[in-house]
Amino acid sequence: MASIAASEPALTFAPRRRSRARALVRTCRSKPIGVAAGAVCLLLVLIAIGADQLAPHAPDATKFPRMHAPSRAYPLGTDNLFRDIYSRVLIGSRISLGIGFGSVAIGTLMGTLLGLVAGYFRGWPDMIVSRALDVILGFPPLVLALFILSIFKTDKGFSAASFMWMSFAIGLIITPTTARIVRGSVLGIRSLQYIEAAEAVGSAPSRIILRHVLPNVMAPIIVIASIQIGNAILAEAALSFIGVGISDDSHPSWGKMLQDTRAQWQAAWWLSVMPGAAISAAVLSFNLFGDALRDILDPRLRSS
Amino acid sequence: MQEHSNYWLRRRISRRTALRGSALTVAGASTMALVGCGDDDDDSGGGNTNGGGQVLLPTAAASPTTAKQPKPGGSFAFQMPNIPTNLDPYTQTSFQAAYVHGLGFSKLYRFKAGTPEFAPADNSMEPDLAAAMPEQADQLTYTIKLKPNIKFHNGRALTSEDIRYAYDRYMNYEKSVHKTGLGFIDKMETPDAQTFKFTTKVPYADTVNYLGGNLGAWISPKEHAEGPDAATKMVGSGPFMLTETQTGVSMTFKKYADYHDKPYPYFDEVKAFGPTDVAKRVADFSAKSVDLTWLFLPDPRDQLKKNRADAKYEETQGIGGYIYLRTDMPPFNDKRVRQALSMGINRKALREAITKGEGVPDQLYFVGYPFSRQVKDLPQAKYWDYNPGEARKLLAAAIGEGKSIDTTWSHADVTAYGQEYLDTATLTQNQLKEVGFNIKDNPQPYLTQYIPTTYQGNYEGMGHSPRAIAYWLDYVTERFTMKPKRGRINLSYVNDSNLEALLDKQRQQFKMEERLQTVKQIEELVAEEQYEIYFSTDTRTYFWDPAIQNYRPTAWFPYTHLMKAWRDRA
Repeated sequence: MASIAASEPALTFAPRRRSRARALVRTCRSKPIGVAAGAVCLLLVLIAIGADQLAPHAPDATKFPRMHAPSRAYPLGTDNLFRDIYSRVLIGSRISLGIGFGSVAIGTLMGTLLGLVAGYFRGWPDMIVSRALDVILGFPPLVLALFILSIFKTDKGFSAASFMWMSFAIGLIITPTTARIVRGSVLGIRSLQYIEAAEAVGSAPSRIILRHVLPNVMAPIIVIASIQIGNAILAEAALSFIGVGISDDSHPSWGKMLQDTRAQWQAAWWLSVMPGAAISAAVLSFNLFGDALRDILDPRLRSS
Repeated sequence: MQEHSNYWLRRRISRRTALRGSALTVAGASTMALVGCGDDDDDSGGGNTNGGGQVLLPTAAASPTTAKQPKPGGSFAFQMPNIPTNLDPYTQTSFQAAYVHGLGFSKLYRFKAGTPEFAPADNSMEPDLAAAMPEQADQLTYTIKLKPNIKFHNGRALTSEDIRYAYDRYMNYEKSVHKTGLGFIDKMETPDAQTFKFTTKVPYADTVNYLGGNLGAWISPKEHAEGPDAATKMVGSGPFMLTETQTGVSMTFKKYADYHDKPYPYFDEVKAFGPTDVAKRVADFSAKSVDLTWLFLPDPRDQLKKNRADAKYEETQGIGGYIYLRTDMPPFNDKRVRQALSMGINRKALREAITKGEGVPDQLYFVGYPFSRQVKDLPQAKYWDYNPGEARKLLAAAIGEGKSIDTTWSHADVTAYGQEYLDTATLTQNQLKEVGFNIKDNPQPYLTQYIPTTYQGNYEGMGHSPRAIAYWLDYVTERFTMKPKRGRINLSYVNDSNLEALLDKQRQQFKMEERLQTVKQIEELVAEEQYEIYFSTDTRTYFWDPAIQNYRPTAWFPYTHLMKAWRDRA
């Protein structure tokens, strides 16, 4: 009995798995840029996780030649304070990506929640949420983040509190976009018959939202989140560049690296190019990956 | 003064020399010949060098133009790092506030430096509100006659009672930050409206220098000082009246027609801009949108020399930072920890990183004076050597083998002193980490947080500040005294009876030779104890438009004599 039971699912699902694998290979072939971007994203994440092991030196070690151009000994050169830029770029990926992911998680969570409430209940909840989002959108994004950070982020160094406030400030500025997309999707789903059926059999709104609405708006949420990661990394770099980011030399960020050396850019091109290239690579790869995901997950684009 | 072995003090020139220089200008002689008024002939751009060939104090390009006929009128614009938010001299110790105080307020005396005849670091005094230098019946009694017809900007006549009021407020006002400075005064009298008389508790050799040089000696009248606008406006008797402040942007001053020192001021309007960014200051002066800009380290200095080849410029031996620390509590109450701290700093690397290797390598708090000793001449010179091995040993002896110290380093943020100041902190913190100091960096907004808290001594661990040149000998008392209370800039909470005895002794020594012997003892004691940890002294360059005449920078208050400057529009 046991052997029969164990073999049954394999007989049932093996063809479906094979077809999914084939579909994946087909998709990868049709989206080579997206695959490459995804690989870069994965690489960046792995670098951020293993930065301590990968970096040849401590980011705040000052025992190297000053402003040494990129060479075999110093692949990305050294900066004006005798530090190895390669090690700093590697370690810097933790702050940049960490806050990037953290803020997108916060922004996506808040945006999804608000979008679900506004789209499902409509009426006055929709009005309140929509007007609140309008207010947030009324502020220039970086000014809003600056406002929040200058009031709440009292610790300028590397700490859980400053990491959280940075993530929250950036998360807040990406919330409206997510909320509006989710709300639009929910409004479309809300009028479908299976939702009416669920209501007719007396399902509670929370159950309908979680079991029937949310799974059907996951695709746009995933797509917008992947695209927003690039924007969040860029926002973190901008905030660090203007001096309100995390300021701790043993935990550099790419934006802070740019700010620290800007007076020397004319004298040493690598001071701006290396952290700048890291920011560009991260933003570009997450954006391209997001685009590819959208193409794959959107049935209309997929069929075309 | 002693023989001027110091570069800047040697550069005082006589009026005759100045006139001769002007004549040579008219005759088309070279600038080098004009400036060759000292006993050195190194003004052709080569600069003054030390033994190692480092440029310490390069060319002074000030032209002696006092012989020209002044042309009153017009406006003058200059830049400073910040627009001060609190202008009340009684509650402020900010040098940035003092820069504009010099335009709106007066003191009994003022520095002579500020016009081409005087070297930037010349700390000698001349009468301002006073009609002459004080009369002294004995070593304790000073009688000062005021100039006639002095009026405040509000139209009221300034009398000796205003001087008494101001000094009393500096000493006794609850919120005064200058309480200890005038502590040498015992009794004040105002025999008549034009005469101010006071006695000192003990003979005090620096009386005039304090009254003319200190931040806490501006005369602000009672009706203004106790009014609601004391922090935002200036009602003094200075050459210019503050008419408008745009917060964080600019301050506008108009000529005070009733100024007591005729025929000054020459300019009708003076405008101070407060861009905080060095790059913007460079750009503005390059575009000729301001007449004077300053505080430039070697990199922007060289850029400005290229951009404005026509501009006059002069370097002053500038600002060297120092670390202050809580010597009244662990771990910095142990001198071995302080010595380890000093030996863990690679000052040569700092100079290389921040000032292209320029500057005066290692000094204590006295810089710019002829007697200022280089650290290499001190018996305690080894504490300035970068010696991480010895630093680790000292630290291990103090706190135990294998242990490290966790502490905080508070300092002003980038807006006050620029990126180089922050880089100094960052690089030093990284160097010190290698010998066992784990430092949490704590940058603070300058005007709203650093000055009201850390710079008043409310900090933990360590702090970092630029140190200006000590502009009178007894400056050391404000640094190190605890009598009757902590000195204004005794940020290290130094409380050393041996040091206090030496401070008391030098204050009462009127013979310079004797006093300098005591000063040397103080230097050696401070060097041994490492109550403050000193960085090298950098150079700071002033640039001004060649049309501006009769101006020369000073090492301390660059606008003291702005009322004597004028624009040659020919």
